[in-house]
Amino acid sequence: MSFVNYHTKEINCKIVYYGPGLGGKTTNIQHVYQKTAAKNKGQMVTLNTENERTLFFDFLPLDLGTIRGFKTRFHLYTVPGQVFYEASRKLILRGVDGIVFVADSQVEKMEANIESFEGLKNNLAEQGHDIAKIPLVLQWNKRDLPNIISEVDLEKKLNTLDVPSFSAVAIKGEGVFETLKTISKLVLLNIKGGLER
Amino acid sequence: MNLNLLVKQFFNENEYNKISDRLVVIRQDGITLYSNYDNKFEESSIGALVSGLWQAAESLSSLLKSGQDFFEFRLGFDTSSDGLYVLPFHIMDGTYYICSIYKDSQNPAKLKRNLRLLKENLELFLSEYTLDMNNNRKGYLFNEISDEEMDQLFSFDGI
Repeated sequence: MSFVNYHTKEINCKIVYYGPGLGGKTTNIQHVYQKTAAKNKGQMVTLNTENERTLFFDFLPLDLGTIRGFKTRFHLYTVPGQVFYEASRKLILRGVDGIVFVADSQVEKMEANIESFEGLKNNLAEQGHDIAKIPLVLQWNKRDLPNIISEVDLEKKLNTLDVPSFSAVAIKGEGVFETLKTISKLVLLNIKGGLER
Repeated sequence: MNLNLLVKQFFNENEYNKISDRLVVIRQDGITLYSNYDNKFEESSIGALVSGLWQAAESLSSLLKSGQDFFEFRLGFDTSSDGLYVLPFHIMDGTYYICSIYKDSQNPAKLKRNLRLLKENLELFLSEYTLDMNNNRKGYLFNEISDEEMDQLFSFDGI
């Protein structure tokens, strides 16, 4: 749940990058970290296994600037993608304001994408969220690899909610900020609590 | 009343902000409400880590006994002089954590006891106010946001 401090005019929002293992969630926020000026970001926190797979979460605090007088701070998290970390994924989704689902475009990863997306729906439902009502953006990552499924098929199989989607090659930074910008806008538009009482 | 302001007032007026090197109050989702030092990004990281730490510990404890009330639990990670100590508390519908991170403490047991007393005082202090949790604000904060405004927000990067 986003946190708005009306006195200091600050907005805090939590965005979670979700998706199957090795899909590029960490690569997305690493790119954001690398391309963001030092004054706009904090240290990226990573809780990894020895072979650099996400164990619990990655975290990046990001100050984007001011919108209509409100300072915006986004808290970017990734979940661990490996199937046996379901409990961790549930914890990280607590209080989420917006989700980026990072799908792996390779043909052989389609089943993992679908399984992960179903897991997302279930985990959100357990916390009282309806996936159709929470800000959500899909990213078709690894578009530079051979043997990829067409975007039309990805849309058909994963984008049943007809939410915004982006092609990406996160390792080269392509599509990373476009995805983040769109989810940020959806999250900001979804903040409840107007200025009038 | 604004929760951030109240918490800040509580710590500053009573000089509770001096009982530990790092003292933070965190929401369950990891957002920091108060810290006794001025580094916005570091406090954000501490918030994310402490929240994750507590929730992971809670999940582990649930394996032993389900339906447990964790508000009486404490979480510590320490040596005889350095460490961290986390306590949960409840305000209205929300769960919050107060965390002390300390080093070179002569008497960590006393520090922990003080933190427990501080938590009780904070709960008592906050219970005397009607908190503005934004629930009585109507509608959405932004009805529309233009592409130009979003471009402006993201103007720091190299798109």
